[in-house]
Amino acid sequence: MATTSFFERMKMLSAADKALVKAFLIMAVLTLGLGIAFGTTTAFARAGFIEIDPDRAFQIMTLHGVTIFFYWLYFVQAALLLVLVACFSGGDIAIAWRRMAWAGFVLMTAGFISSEGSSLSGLALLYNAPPEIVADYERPAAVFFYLGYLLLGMGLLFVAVPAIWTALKPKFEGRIDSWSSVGFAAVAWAGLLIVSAFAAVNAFASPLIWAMGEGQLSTNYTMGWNLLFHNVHYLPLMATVVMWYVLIEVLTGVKSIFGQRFSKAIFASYLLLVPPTSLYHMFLEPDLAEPVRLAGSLLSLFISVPTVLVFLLIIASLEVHARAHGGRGLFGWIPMLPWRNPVMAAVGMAVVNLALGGVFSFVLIQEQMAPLLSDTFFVPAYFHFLTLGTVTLTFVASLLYVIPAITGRNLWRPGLLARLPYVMTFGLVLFGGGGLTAGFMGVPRRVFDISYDGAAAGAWMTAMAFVGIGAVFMALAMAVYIFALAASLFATPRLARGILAGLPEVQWGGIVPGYQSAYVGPLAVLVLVGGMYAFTAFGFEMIARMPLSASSEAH
Amino acid sequence: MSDDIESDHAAPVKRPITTRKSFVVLMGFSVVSLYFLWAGYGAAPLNIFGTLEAAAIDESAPVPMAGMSMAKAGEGAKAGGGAMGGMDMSGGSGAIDAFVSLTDAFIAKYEQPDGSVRPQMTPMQMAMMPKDERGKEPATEVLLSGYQWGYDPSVIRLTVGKPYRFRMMALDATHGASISTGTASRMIRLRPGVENVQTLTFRKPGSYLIYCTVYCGQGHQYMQAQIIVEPPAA
Repeated sequence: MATTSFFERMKMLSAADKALVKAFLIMAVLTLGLGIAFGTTTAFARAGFIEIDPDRAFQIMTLHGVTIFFYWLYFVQAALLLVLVACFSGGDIAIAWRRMAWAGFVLMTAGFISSEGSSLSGLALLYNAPPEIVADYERPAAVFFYLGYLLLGMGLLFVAVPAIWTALKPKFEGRIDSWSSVGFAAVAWAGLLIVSAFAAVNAFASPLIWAMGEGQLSTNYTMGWNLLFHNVHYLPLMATVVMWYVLIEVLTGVKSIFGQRFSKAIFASYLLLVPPTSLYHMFLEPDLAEPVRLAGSLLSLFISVPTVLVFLLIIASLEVHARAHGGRGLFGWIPMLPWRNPVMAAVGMAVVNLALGGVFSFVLIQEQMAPLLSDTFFVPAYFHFLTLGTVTLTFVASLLYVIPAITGRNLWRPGLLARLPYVMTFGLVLFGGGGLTAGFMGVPRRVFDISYDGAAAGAWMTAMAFVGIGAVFMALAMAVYIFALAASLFATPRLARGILAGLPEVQWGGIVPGYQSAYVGPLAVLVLVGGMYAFTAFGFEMIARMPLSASSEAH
Repeated sequence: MSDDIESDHAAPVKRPITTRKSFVVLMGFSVVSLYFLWAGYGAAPLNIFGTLEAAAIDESAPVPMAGMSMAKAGEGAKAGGGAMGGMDMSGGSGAIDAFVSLTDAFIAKYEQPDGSVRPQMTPMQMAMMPKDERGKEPATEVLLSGYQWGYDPSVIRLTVGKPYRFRMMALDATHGASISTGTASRMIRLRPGVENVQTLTFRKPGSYLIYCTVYCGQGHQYMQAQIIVEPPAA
């Protein structure tokens, strides 16, 4: 492995490679900006802060989900993946088969235009787009909607193949014996992108043909969608922990104390443990067999294992190095981390948000809890901790580091950016607190007018008001981030001598840490598991106290 | 954090327990222990594999239905539904037609002057229906269909403490027929042509909202019905 820093390696990319990465970065920032604008409008409307005509409201909700969940997350992953394989594969610092990757960019952009155009024309299918609710007169618009998703899937394939070849090439040329752990993780990441691409074709080809007026609608859209959706969920989470792994070394110089084989095994465990856990999305299905429900609950317990392992690996490595550099007390080493660096602050808060989202997501994966919480606002409340507070925040942190290297421009106001993760997390706690409470009370997930002519509980609106207040802080933080990213792409002054100055780092690597214990990681996991126990027990107690007892008939 | 080749190849060094790989792996799997809490609440069996096996054998047995007309609808629903929530509009149309007929008959039989529906068993029916093995009162059947954008029947009157066997189906697209109790809700999802059967007992009198919790198009948020739970007649 080259000893040159990641930043220096990115700077060594050719102008043509940088142009490709920059194209993906521009689309990532654009889709993030649009998605946050649509999301903020949706949150304000749901909280009752603004009134929108119902048709328009569902259209905006569709645009929010499609833009953020599909296009932002995939454009940014494409950019980061290409940078990682080029810089960590041990060969030339270059992207192989660049033209194919450009074709991927064109396909993904065409998909974005097709999906957004369809939604802007008035189609409000939400991001899962069930064809059963497409009216006959909406079929032409639905053609473009499904076509957009298919183009996105094809584009991902065209990006993932060059990424894998970039990593394979130095092995075939005999320049390396084995991949670095990051190179290995990037290949696994690219492999999962290919799985997503095929899952997209599987889910959307049939509805597209049907919307074109040809052929019958497939009978298993729900199954196809759930397979894709599960991938869309967990692929960004794997990418997130890979970026933590990379960025922590950048920020502290600390390498894993467990060795690269252990890291590779953990990254590989995503491939093993995540795919079988998709059943919990279907617990409310009326014809899901009881053994499948039971097996689904059990398998779901394994979903967090790879992420918890990566967390422990990183925290233990950090802690023993920090202790070797004078860190004292149980938590005394944590303030020694470079928190005034906006990348560190964002990664740190992403970890906190993952814990919060993780605690609540584990309430939902139990089959008997699903009838209490699925399809309620509990779902968006917990997953915003993950999609925004963990995944998006980590990807934004990654862009804060990658963009200056690619554009050669300074970061805009890093001191201010280092404060944003706290603002966003504060907003998320309000949004999530209000939303989780609303979900426990039964507020539906996708309804703008929750008054039901006065038949609904009055407390529903109070809980949703907290969602709106939280969204103010989340939107504020994201707006500043998006401005900073756009400015760093186009407008900030050039880096003096190519150095990204003013970002504090520590250098704890390069020494053998010796006999040091690492307590904080295990302690954090115990707190996490304790939280899961507490909220799961709370859920069971709520079910027991409901003035309604219910049992489903076995199928 | 990319590489530490020394850790793979260097001679083993004694480490504190908290930095051993085995400890990290054990901690990583600690989340799985949540299963025991589920089992403690009776929401999961302790003998998971035995239960799965038994349940799988059970699946092959025919599901007993309450009567002739019910069996017809039940068979239709089985034919209409995919193996795991698959949508089947065409294959389920027979089941849907049968369910609409049953619902219409149900409403006609129990409709009250104010338009609400009050399902109840006659003393004769009560006497003829076998109690279950725990001596519990047999459940009264209630039929409910969901469509874009409403429910049939739209107002149902029930008696507190009595069990009701709700047979529900979506007629066009996927819908919810969730029931709000004020402090929490029972989420129920209906697929077109697939019968969802739940036995519900309301423990408190009052008005309960039925609402759609699956986005089903423009009128989604206006889909609602009402269950009025009344004390038993003196």
